[in-house]
Amino acid sequence: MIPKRTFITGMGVVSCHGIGNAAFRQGLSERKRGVREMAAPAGPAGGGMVAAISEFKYQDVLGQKGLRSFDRLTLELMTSLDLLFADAGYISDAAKTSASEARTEIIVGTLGPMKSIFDFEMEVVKDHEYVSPALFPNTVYCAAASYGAIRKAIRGGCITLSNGETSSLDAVGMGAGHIVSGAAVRSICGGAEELSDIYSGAAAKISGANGGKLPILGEGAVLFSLESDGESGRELAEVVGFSGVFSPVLREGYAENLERLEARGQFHPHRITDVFPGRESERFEHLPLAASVRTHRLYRRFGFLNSLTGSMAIAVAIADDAVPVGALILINNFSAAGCCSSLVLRKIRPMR
Amino acid sequence: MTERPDRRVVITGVGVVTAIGVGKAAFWKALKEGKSGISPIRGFDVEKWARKVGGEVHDFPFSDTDAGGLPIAAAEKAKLMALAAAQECLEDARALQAGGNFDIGVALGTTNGESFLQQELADAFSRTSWEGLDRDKLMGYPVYTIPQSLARRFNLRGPNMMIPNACAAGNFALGFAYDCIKSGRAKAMVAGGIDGFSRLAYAGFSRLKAIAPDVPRPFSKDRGGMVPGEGAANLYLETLESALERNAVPYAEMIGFGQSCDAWHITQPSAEGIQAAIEAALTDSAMEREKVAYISVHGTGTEANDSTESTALRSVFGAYLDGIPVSSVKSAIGHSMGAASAIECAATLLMMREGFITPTLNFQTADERCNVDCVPNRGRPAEIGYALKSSSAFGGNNAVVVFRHPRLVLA
Repeated sequence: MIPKRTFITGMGVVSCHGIGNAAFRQGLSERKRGVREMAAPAGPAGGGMVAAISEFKYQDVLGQKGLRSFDRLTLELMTSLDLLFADAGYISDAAKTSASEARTEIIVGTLGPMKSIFDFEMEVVKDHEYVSPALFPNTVYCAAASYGAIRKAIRGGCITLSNGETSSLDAVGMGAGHIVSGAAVRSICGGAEELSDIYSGAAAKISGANGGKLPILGEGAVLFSLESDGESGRELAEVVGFSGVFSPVLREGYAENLERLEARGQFHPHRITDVFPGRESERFEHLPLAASVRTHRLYRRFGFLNSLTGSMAIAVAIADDAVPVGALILINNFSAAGCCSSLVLRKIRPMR
Repeated sequence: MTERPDRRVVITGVGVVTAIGVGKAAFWKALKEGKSGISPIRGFDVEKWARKVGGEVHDFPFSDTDAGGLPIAAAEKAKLMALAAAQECLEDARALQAGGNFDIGVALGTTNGESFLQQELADAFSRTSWEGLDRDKLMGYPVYTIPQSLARRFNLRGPNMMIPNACAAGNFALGFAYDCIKSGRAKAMVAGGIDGFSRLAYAGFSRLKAIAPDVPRPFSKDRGGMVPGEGAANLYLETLESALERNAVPYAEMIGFGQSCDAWHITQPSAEGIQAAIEAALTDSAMEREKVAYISVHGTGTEANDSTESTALRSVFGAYLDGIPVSSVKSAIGHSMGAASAIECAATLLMMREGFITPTLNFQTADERCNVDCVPNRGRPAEIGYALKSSSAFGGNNAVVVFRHPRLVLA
């Protein structure tokens, strides 16, 4: 069998630089920091520094109607999805009739709808008889992706992953695997993360108890379209390989990932030109990379993005001119508890 | 990325925690005898609630479970049940010591994850705001901590995945595990589903008027809804080659997986979507539909689910459906949410091994909109060559798994 190749053919970005790919690209080219002071409820209780979505006027993209019951996570994801469809030139109505469209899937990595779950629990504590049935679906982890699938008639499958920080990178890895195996003709994949008083409150409680200070929390949504066709002229990057393992010892996990990718003949680690580490403090001395490798760190520009980190790294790799065309890019992610994922990307053309 | 090597995948271990039995032997005995796990709720005060029954697990030692040295609180019921099911499935597969390298991974599905812990945190917050919340409990709350605790406990360092795809999550986890093994990313996987009994879900389903007053009566004309439950199931999946090398006896071969999304409504099921997932699974298994000898259905007992599912099955199988028994495990243990499809896969594997189809309990009157042989109230002996497990979830997420009997595996 001829190995299938997997390409990223479009993307939709909602970030601290604003809504849309143009705002994202402009923010990158101007080397903007999306971090700013923000009061609760989006920011930490009592206010603090966050990297929230700049001017989240989702109605400009989604319209005005039928949005009342959606939580912030769903709105972020649906906005990203609409932007992606526009960028990739997809028409959602076609998905209802075309046979190939029936094998379009959506895979979303996220920490989950923490705010909706918690608010609903509070309503239950207050009076279970009067909880809102319209808000109940928002408490289900797969609601955001499912609402997106409903909006765009995505019928080939709808999967939500929640693996901590590796979630959205794992989503792209899974989507690429489905394209390669033929399980999907088109995979829409990425992640979404929301800021809320609940999220920042929990983060403050955990980091405070650890004796550390609260990280600058970020949010947003990034989705990509993956396809196997390499001749459409829309290819932004190629997904060269993906590997994910569990390793409480981080360096062992990354080394295993690289070994696996190399063993499959997908690339030689020495050819990697650019690296996006999962964490600010990560170093690569233990990996067989060339000394000239360029390192790109996201935290100062986007804050701590949790499950969205991997997808945002892919988006930056594609949109940032600091990563040249032809670059072979290693994107690493790990969750504190031990998931450890690596994705290798080859940049094909700059984002227009 | 490269094409998958297409390895064959067999199941050699099963572990379950359910309302009718902890451990596969107790579970199978109760299931075969038609025992019901529906009982008065103990997990929260239901005095003022209209509905008062659930499929809770009462026989599990939550406060006295050996978590293998991991710091897991009694309130982390999902982890404790998942660990017990994993331990049993690894012992059953004689693979308890197999971990240590990167070849064996974990894939789990859930709806709410640590719902009991969530309830405790919410209650504490309502009294004291953030002051009263325990940091360790917050750390143990995220759903991904469940598969990661299995990885730590049993030293399983391969792919690690949590798929919170609601009521079909267990099947989605099996689908991921199947793909990992076929593609060569893992030699074996512990895969399944888990959910603790959830006050939040109970309140939500109550407001949707989806909960039965007494017991679930899938496919019965007088069915009054589902009954929420809890539990866990884990299966040990490995390559056929590895099972043969170890002289392990497979329960079955997993030969197909299919998924679809209704893309229609967040809570209402669609026959078209269910049909698409079943057809995708049959296509993946490269098997003629008339060979299917048993279907473990989603079968919740709600008005909408059972009629929609029956329509979907008729659309796929046509007249063949008259000769295919279908049954609902939820009639016995309630709807264990993210654990449901994994538990029902475990039940299907036991049925294939034992040559006996367990019944749909509480059936009273036939419903013309549910034109299926649901094996009402009494089980029956049957040779099952090929079986299918279908599942559907919130948001219209459907996943279907196809199994082949071990006597056909080596044929």
